[in-house]
Amino acid sequence: MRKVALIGAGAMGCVLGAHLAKGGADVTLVDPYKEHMDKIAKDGLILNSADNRETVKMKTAYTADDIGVMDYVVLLTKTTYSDAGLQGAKNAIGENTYIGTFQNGLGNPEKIAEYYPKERIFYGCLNLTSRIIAPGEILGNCFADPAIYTGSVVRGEEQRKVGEAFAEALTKGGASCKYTDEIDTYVWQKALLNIMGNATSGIVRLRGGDILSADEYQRLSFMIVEEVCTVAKAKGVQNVTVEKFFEALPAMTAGLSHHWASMAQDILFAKRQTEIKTLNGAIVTFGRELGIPTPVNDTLYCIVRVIEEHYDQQYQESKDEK
Amino acid sequence: MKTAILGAGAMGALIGSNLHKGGAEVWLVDPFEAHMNKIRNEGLKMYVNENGQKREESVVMNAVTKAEDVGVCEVVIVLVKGMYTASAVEGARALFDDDTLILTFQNGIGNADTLAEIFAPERIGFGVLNLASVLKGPGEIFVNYSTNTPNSNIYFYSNSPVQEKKCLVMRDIIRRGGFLCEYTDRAEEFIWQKLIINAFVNLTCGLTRLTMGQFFDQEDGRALRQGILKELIAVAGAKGIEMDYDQEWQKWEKTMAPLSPSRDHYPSATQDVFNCRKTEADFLNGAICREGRKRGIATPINDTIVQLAHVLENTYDLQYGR
Repeated sequence: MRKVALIGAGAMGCVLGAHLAKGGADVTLVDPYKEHMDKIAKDGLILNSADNRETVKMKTAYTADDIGVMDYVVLLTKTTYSDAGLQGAKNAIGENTYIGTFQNGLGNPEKIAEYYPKERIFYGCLNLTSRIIAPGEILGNCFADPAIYTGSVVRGEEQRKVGEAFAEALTKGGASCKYTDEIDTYVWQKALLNIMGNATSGIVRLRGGDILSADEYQRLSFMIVEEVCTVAKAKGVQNVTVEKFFEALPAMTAGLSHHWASMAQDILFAKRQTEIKTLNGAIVTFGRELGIPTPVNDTLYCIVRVIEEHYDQQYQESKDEK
Repeated sequence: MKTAILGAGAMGALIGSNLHKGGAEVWLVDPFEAHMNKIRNEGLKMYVNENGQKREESVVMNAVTKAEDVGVCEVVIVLVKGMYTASAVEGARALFDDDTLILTFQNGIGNADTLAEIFAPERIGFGVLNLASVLKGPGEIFVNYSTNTPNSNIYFYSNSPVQEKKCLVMRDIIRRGGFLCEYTDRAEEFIWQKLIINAFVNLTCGLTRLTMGQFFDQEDGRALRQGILKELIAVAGAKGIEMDYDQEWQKWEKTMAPLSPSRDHYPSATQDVFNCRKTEADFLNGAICREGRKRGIATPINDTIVQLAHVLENTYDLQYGR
C-alpha cells in the first residue's frame, strides 16, 4: 500500500487525502492546526458532500519530522507557505519519493524544483470546492468530471506509471482523476479563472456573482484574460484562449454566485497574506521572463500587495454608519 | 466684478473668500444649506496654514442655495465635482447670460470639455489650483497653501481673446486677495502636472483604503506609480506638453517624503469611496485614458484603475462591510 503524506491538511488536503485513503493508500495528514489533526486522529475525517456524509480514517501529524519516508508527498499549503511546507517535509522525502502539488495558481512545480529534481515532481489541479466547517469536518463539492487532473514535469514512462497509479487510487476512492501530458492546459485554465476574478473580488469587495455580472467589469475581465492567454501561448501551453475561456465561464462559475473568492476571504475576513504571487503575480513573472508586457496584471498585483502589507492601517468603515 | 462660485464646498468657499478679499462681489451657490447659512450669517471660518504659519480668519460673504437669488453674473467659477457639472449648470441657469465668463477650476481634466458642450467654447476659461482645503463642518474649512515658492496658487487661461480682458481683471482680484496667480497659456501644462499626484493617489487610496503617505511608502505602490506616470507623460507628450519623467518623479517623492504634512490625508475620491459616492474617476486617471485613446496611446495601467473604480462606485450596496 503506497504511503502518502499531505503537507497542508486544510480543506483541500483533507479532501485529497480522504479520497486517496478510500482508494487504498496509507495516508498521513500533516498540519500544525492541532484541534483539526486531533479530531481526525480520534474520530476520522467527516466528509460531507451534497448527498453524502462519511467518515474516513487517516493518520495525522503536526509536522512531517517523524512520519517516515513516503512514496508520495503532496504539497497543499497555501502558496504563501510553500517554502515552509517543503522545508518542513524534508524528513519524509527520500531518494525515491515523488513530490507533487495541487496548489492553486501557477509556478508551483517550479517552486518544488528549487528543492528536488524535476524527474520526481508531479502536479495538477483540483476542480472541487471545499471548506473546513469544524475541526475534523469538511464540506465539499465536485464541479467537474474528472474532478482532478495530474501530470508530470518530466514526461517519461517512469513518471507516467507513478502518476497513473496515483490517479487510479484517487478514482477508486471516489474522486475521478486523469493523468495527462496536457496537464498545463488544465492547470492554466483553472488558474485563469482565479486570475480573472480572485484579486478583483478582493479589491472591490464583491461576491463572485456580483462581480461577474457587473457591467463595469466586463471590459476589465477581458483585458486580464487576454494578457494571461498571450503569456500562456508564449509558454507553449495549448488551448488556453480568450474565446474558450469566456465560452466555458458560465459553466465554471455556476455554483459561485454567493461565494467569496479565496482572496476576498484573505483580504476581508482573515486579513492575511494572499496567494497573489502565484496568481496575477505569476503572470507578471512569466511576462518579464518572456519580454511580454503585462500591465493589467501588474496593476492588480501591486494593488493587492499594497493592501496585504497595510491591513492594520487601512481605513475601517463603521458598519453602524451605513 | 459680480462673481458666482457654483459649487461652494471646501475649494469653492476658499476661492470665494480670496475673491471677496480682492474686491469682487462674490456669491457662493451650493445646495448645502447649513453651510451657506453659516457663511452668510456668521462668516466662513478659515483655519489657514500659509507657508507653515497658522492663522484664523472669518469672512462673511453672500451665500445662497438658489441661483435665482443671485441673478446674472459677469463671471461664474465652476467648482462642483466633475460628474455634476452638467446638472449643476442646468440648475443654475439664472447665473448666466451671453456675456458671462465661465471659469472652471475643477480637479482633473475634461471639465472644460463638459462645459464646452453646454456653452460656446470661447466663453470658457480653465485653470488649476495649487491649494489644499478640507470642509470640516458647515462654514468651516482647513486650508493649506504656499506663497513662498515659484509655483502660483492659480494658473488659468482662456483660448479666447474675447475673454482675456475679463480674465486679467480676475487675475488682479485674485492677487489682491492674497494668492499668487498667473494668466498664462502654460496653464494646460500645470493642469497636467497637478494630474500626476491625483493619478497617483486619488483612486488608488480609495481602492486600498490608505492615506497618501501610507500608499507612498510601500514598494509595490511605487512600481504602480511609475507605470501611471509613464502613461501620463506619454499622453501629455502626444498633446505637445513635454514633461520630464525624472523631474516629476523626484518632485512628488519629495512632497510625500516622511514628515511631510500632506501625507496624512485621504484624497477626495478616497473620501467618496468611504462615503459611498460616485468618484471623479473619469476626470482623473480616466482623463489619461480618454486623451490617450484620442491619440492611439495605450494606457492599460490607468485603464485598470479606472475600471476598478467604476465597479466599486456602482456596487456599494453589494460590497462586504456595507
